[in-house]
Amino acid sequence: MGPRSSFRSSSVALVLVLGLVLGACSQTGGSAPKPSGGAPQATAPAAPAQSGGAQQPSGGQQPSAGQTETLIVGAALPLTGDVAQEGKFQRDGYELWKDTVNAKGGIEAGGKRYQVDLRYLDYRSDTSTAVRLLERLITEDKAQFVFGPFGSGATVAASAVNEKYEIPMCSPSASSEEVYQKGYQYLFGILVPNSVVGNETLDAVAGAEPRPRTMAIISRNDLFPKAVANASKAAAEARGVEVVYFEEYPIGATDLSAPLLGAKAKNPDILMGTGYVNDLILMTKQAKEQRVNPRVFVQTAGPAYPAFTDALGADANYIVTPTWWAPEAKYTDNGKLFGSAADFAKQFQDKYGYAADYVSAASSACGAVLQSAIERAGSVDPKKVRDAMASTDLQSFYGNIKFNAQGQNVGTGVTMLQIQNAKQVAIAPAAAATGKLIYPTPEWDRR
Amino acid sequence: MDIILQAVINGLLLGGIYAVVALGFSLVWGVMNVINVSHGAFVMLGAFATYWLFVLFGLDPFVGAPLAMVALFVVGYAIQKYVINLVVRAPIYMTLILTFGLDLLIVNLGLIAWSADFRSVNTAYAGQGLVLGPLVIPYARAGTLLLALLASAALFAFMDRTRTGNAIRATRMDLEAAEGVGVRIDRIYALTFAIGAALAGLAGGLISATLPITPIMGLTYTGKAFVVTALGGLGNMGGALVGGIVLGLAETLGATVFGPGYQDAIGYVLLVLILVVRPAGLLGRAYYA
Amino acid sequence: MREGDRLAAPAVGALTRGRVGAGSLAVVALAVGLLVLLGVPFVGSGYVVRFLTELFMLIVLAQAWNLIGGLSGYISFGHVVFFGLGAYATGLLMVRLGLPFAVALAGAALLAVTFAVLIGLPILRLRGHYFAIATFGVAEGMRQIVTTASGLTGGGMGLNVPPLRPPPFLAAALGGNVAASSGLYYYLMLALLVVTMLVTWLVMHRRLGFGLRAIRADEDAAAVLGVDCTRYKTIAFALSALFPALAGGIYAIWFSYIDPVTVFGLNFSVTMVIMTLLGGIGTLWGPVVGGVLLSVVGEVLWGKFLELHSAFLGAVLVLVVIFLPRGVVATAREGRKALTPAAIRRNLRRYSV
Repeated sequence: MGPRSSFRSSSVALVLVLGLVLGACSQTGGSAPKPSGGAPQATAPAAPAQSGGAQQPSGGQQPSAGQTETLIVGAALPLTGDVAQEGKFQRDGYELWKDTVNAKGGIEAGGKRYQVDLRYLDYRSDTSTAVRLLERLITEDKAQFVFGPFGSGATVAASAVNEKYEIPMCSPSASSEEVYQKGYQYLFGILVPNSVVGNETLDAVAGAEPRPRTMAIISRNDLFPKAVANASKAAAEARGVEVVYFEEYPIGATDLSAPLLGAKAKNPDILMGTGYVNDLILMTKQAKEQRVNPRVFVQTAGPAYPAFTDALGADANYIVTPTWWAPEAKYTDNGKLFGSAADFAKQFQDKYGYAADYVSAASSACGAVLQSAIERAGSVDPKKVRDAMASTDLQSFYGNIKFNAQGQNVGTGVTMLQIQNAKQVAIAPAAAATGKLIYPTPEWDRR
Repeated sequence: MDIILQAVINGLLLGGIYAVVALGFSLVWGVMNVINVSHGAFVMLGAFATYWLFVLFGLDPFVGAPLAMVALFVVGYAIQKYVINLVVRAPIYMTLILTFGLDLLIVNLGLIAWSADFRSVNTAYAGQGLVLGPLVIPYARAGTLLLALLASAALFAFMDRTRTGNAIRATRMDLEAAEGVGVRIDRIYALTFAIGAALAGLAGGLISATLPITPIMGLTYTGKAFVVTALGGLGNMGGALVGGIVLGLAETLGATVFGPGYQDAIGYVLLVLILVVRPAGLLGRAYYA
Repeated sequence: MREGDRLAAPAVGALTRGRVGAGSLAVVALAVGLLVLLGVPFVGSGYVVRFLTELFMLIVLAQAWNLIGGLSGYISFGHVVFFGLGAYATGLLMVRLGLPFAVALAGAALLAVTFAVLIGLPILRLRGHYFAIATFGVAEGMRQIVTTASGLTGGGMGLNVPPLRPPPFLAAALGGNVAASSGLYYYLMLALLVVTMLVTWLVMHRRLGFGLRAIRADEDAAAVLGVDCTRYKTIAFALSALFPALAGGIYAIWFSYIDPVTVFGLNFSVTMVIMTLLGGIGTLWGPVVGGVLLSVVGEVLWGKFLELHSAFLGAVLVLVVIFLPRGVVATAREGRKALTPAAIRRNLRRYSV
């Protein structure tokens, strides 16, 4: 190309790059209030705008004449894309906490009261975007604390960012120990580890009579489902149950008949399936089609969701699932924030019109943990709050929350549910149980 | 042995689904030399149309799917006439990008309208099947295979016996010659694409009878359509049927023998192999090489 | 003459001739631009630095695709496979064998190029659609294989890769470890971008580039005229695999966590193509312009039209293909002529039946 047009092209490129750099830089520390995003909901515009609570413009704390200040908490959430539903559950949980605590006067620390201002950005169910947006929340929106994105994968990736800036993150949706093994000091997770899940799941079924001797595991090839499958395998073997089949299916599989057949051939007493709600719906349907009849069918994590029983109706019956929180559980904070588990469930249902599941509950619990840490630290300094979080021992509507050295909750364990009459019924632990395990599961043809 | 037999049955039935998905895709590619990356989005639309017919009016999916077919026919005709036609003779990257843009648009509008939740059509006979000793033939999937065969036969009859069908075949064989004898290419293209979309809609409707559906389901099926079309040969209706069944069998048998983890990989490995070894496909002749 | 004199000769010559040529003006403009970019980590926030690092990476990918797709006419729809290979090879060499980053990166690059040559042997024989589909099949197949070989790669659980510690001089220069760790990856990616642009420029102005353009125009005629098509295509394919592999390796230590869905994802493949198409396929600056436009448009859209963002992108794609088939750069070069109704109508009818 001739010199004239090459000059033109390169100057076009140069101008564009300069413009981009200037434009990007001008967003740094800008104090102009940003316009609201186009989303219709009043409670959570995902663009860098404010949520319903605080009235101050964006850009950090604004001490007014009295002692009320703003506390900015950020969260990168998948509000669109394939895990948008889970993102919504988390957002609604965070929001409920924010509204509850602000209504009670805010968080009190060091003689000041802080109104919480929650900022969200939508990472469109894409992990790389989650990482980038978390950094944006910290450097541009000046978030002082952050709540986690959805799922183990995004949490592992994003936690590198807040660790770099030394800002504590509380995650309500990552239970795999692998997420917490990077040696990070600023990551805390509400969900108890998969090893606990594995142990308590096996405890619930391994003792039933006639005793199960063999187990088959069909696992989705994804961080959390695989981790839970591995944990369950270890728990089974520790209880003298032999794992006779262990296979993985690819993410997005539309046909699970092959692993189901393979498992059926081994005639297992316990059949365990891991994956997400849609995988498990498919698995249950095809288990019925292929006439797979274990003595008990355990699944993680999906049957705890109402969507599961809605989709399957009576076909969901007899499935056993662990859940990190259930409204029937007898947890309470004695009126400090939400009250009991049942109180929380009611408040959530009243505000949003659908039943809270453990993801929403854990999200609100993140808020409760952050609040407790700030109060005990007596300040909003990230390092002090981080230390206070590490020493949490909280009684809440979510149970007892206590973090181990890696930052995972090792307080109250899981509740075991079984679907009976197309409804989730708690069968363990004894303190929370409203029903008993029905075992063995009747064959498909005899239902 | 039982397992292998059941896997064969499952493979045949799965193949039926794949064949229906690929029929329309193969037709459009063979006749118009357009790879419709948004084919899966049309499948999704057909699935949702059938779902809503079931939920709102109680129409069984095997009744709703043909209705969805009609709706998708109209939609496909319009899209080809006003949008795709503008790039139909352009270099391939343009049609690829255009149809990809269409796919993005349709899928995301679907996500806005219906959210990413999975939905199921819960008919009374879902999960039921014909039980022959240790083997099971689920009704819904068997019905899908049957309809796939019917649709192929109907399409073949249309192509072979009717004037318009012959015109389409002529266009596929030699565009300039067809134009020379007076075939209205623009109408043929629009019709072909419409048929392709209608078949995609049918496939979607049938899929909704057996599997949970979601707006983002389409891309997987587009991928399978690629493989089946490559296997069976471009524009070859019988090839799509054979290719679909071969893929279904390969997947289920392969998964049973090698492990379920490899189920989806098998398709792509097959695809690359076929393209390298015999690009014309198992049954086809090479067009647009 | 000393080295400095020789380099300065064109500019000096131009000045003494009393007229500064447009060519040397371009060089000066580029130098200024580069200086600005070098300075960003000193003044920009962590987010800006990250945003630009990602942009550089995407432009590298797009430019690599441009080599085989734009210049040679072989449209690849699975080019992300080299990015993923680079990421996983680097990560695995570091994690499983404890190799330092530079060595692992070199190993990954070697692996990717070898893979490109090997897989290129069969599939470069295909033309048009078939080649595109084959590349798609290779990428998806590789993704499935990496996911399933979980003993080695961690499978669906992903792989944790140790990040690099920024060198102390960088921390001192940028004022702290936080800025230094962002800055490190920024400079790495910028260096890769510069190298990629240089190599592409070189290719375009040498025999290889002319040969590739001949192949794109009419491969059979080119063969008849004596162009060694197989060799040229393979070299182009190998080059187009090298840069994404390097980008993938940097990505692995930057994010310190990789999983098959992200690094072998269709997302990247498509973004590469779109950026190049938008900017101008087969041109040197096309990927840059397209990349910048797409990122800026993306940020703006996503901020204002949350839910409609991806749908909007789809609509934008459709419109661009219809109205700006040769990309922004080429259309801009034509100037006002391209925007008359007559020109638009002509464009629209050019490819229809």
